[in-house]
Amino acid sequence: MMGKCELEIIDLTKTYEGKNVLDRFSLTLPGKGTVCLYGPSGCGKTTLLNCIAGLEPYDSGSITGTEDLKIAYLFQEDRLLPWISAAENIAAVLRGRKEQNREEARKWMRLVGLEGEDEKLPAQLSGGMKRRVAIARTLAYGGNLFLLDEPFRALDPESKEQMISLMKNKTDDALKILVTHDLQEAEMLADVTYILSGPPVRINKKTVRNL
Amino acid sequence: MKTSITQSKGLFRYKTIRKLLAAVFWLCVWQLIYFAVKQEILIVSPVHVLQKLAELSQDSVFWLTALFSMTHILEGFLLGVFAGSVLAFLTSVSRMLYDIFHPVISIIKATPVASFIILALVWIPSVHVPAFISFLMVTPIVWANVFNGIEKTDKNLLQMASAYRFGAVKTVQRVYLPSIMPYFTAACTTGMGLAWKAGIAAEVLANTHLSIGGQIYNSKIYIETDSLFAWTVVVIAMSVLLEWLMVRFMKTAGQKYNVEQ
Repeated sequence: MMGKCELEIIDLTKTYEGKNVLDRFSLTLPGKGTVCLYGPSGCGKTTLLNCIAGLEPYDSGSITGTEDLKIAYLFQEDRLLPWISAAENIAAVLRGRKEQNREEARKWMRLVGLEGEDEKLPAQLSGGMKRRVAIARTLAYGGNLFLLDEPFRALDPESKEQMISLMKNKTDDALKILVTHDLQEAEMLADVTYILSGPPVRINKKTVRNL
Repeated sequence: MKTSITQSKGLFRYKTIRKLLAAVFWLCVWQLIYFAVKQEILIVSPVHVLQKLAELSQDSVFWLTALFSMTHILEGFLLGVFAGSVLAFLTSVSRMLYDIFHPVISIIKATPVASFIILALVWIPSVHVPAFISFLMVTPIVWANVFNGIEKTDKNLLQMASAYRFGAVKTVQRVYLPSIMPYFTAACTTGMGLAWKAGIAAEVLANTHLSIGGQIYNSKIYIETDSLFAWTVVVIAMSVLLEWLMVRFMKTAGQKYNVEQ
């Protein structure tokens, strides 16, 4: 499952509001598979994902290997556009022609078990449904690197199982960096789990799943 | 479905009746005040105002006057909306520009309209004063509201747009515009009312030819209270009508482009 080294974080340092969130943090990640970052809230996991995605600047250090990657980011919050329908939220991240995007979005709505809910606005959906739309949007966008920040938050056990299976099917060749508080989830999905503490983020333990 | 349509129709009818009753109530109050005062020079009855309006509307000058006033005020309003929006955009991207323009806008907001009208009469030809004053009153409102809308745009959604490579045009269309639209609509609604008030006041002081303000001024000079009331009704009617048309237009445009009001 684990490929050659593709993504390298070297001596990454970031201070946020006077707090040292990352202090010479280094990590090497493979080209594909699922890497789990497990740690308490506020230890700096999301900041690390934001730095990898290029959404937040860092003070020093480097991240190499992301230049040619298409990054799909599933945020901790759903971040759906409230003024357009669920299906339109998915279509909004696609690059094809309008009608083609709509059809693709409808397909993803079916895949996440939300058939018939296409035209509903996010405010008309439950927390779990919104999460599934956000997952569908991330998967529809696709890429070689998936940043998944607590991806199954607000999902009931059945939906969670469905989403895990869908995610596994659709992201087989990509590298997934999964941030979670749920150790069981980490053990179930990850090829490698890093147990973190902080801030600043530190790796306390690395566990590799036996295949 | 049928039940909900019937229910909404019923609700609409109920609301209309309620509004009509309110209008009738105030017309009765007006009429009662008229009966109590009994001096045509101080107050005229609603019926008398209607008669005066009917009389005025038979003359083509009435329509020309209303049209010219509307043109001048709309001209100022539209320029104000444009300038306010551009300023809001510029000041939101540059703190330096914000620091430069913010005191000017605050001064305009705080200065009495009459001072500006008098100054404008000294600076520019009187025919342009109503448009200039409307422009001056609308610009700060639009600027403040649109700037507020830009500043309050959800940072999480902007980050999402950046993560999914929306690009500038799509980010503006999908994130900024829907966020700003409620602020913009509120600014335009308030601005329209203010443009009429300030524009007419400018016309009164400038006593411009073929203008509602000019007619109001003449009513005062010749102590024609019925004429004063009639022209005031015209101003209110035109302001309300234009505001209604503007809101309708914005709603239609908003629906077309998935932009919330």
